[in-house]
Amino acid sequence: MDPTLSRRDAMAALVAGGIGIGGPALALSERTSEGLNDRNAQSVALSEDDRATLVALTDVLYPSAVTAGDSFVQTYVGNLPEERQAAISESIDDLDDAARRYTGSEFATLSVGERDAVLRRMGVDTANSDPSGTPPQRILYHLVNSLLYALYTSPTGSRVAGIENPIGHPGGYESQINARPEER
Amino acid sequence: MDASNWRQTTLVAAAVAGLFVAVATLSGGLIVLPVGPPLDPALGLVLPLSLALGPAGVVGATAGVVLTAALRSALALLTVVDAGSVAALGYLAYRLWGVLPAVATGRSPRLDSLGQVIEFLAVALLAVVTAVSALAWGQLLVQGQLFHSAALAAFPTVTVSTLLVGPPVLLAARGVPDSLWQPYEDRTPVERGTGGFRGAVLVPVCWLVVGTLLSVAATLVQSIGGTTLAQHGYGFVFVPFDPALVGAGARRVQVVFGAVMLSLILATWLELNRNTQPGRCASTS
Repeated sequence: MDPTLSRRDAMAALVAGGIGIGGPALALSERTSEGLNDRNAQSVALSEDDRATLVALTDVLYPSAVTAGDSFVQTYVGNLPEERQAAISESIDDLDDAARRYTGSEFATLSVGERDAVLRRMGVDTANSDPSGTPPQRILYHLVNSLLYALYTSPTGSRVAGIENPIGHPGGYESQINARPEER
Repeated sequence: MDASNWRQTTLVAAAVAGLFVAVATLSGGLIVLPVGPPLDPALGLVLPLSLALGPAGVVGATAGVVLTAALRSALALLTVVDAGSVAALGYLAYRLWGVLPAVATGRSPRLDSLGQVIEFLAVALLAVVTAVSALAWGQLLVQGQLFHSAALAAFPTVTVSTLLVGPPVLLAARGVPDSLWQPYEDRTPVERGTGGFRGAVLVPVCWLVVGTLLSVAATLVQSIGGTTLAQHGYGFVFVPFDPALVGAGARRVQVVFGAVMLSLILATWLELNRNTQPGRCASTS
């Protein structure tokens, strides 16, 4: 199994989030990413630096068994509604401001341990998620929770976590048992 | 203060500011330790240099915070909050030395005995509690950040940095000429049982503990929601934490409570001649 999160994973996560509508989106997630490139090129809300910050954030948030590259982040975030993209961009600015405040460097240039330290120093780990709250609350909502949602609703990510269902199959009792490690 | 003293104080403050900026820049701000919270070496300098050098050290460290933020292109309203909390950390440590009755050694902070180490730990903890409370309150004012979130985020790093960096720096400071050390006798210690002792010990601890518990309780109750609590017969619990009344996370209450606590602390420490112990010289230098 290739643990690298792909555009297909990102699209599946988007579908699970209700961004796509039913069957057409599911079908889209099964396709190659040719059709997505055009739309990605039109996404101007997030700069290359913004995406680099998101990829750097996935290094902290995701299990080490999973690698999320630029294409995964671009596909997932680039296909969110524009308001969400704008909010994500603002939260990235907040995160970079905090990284400069505590370390003097941009978030993406820090080591994984330093990124984790900056998040904790900001209080992101003790904040409650709020899309319009304080910077730590917005970062938790728009960045941390969004990226974790993308991971666990993607086929590869959910497989790593052991909570996957076959696409088109709702799961059922067996899949719920699989989600409880102590009964494996 | 005559001209030569003023010049010396200015030079010491400038040297401390330069040292703070250099350490903050060279260390990269935060150093990740194998276990526990990250270490902020520059922040760890504040308390020992203030203990050794007095107000000049405090001013230097505070200026160092502002200069570091400027060099990092991170100047903001939060810089004022950071600088204020660093000033509180340094100045309270300086003033607390010799105040705490159970642990006071009655000598300058040289860390040359177990008693001095214990006094250092007690003074550091109280100064950190005050500084973190002020920092969390400042972030509440500037950013609207929940008090417990800001306090719990700052407390581990400030404590670890102070306790790990402080002792070695104080030991190294023994090499500083005696003329630069702030004489212990000039610290106008306060006596237990006076308003000063309450302002130095009880108020900061109360601020941090009550503020954190209030913030956690309000956040928890507001997360559950009034409707859910009412359905289970606990609607009365929600009333004092209603966001329309106290704000999200009881922010409005925290603002007033923090203002009262800060006023009590300032009232304690703005009194420069609270020398209740005979044989000591009270100086405002």
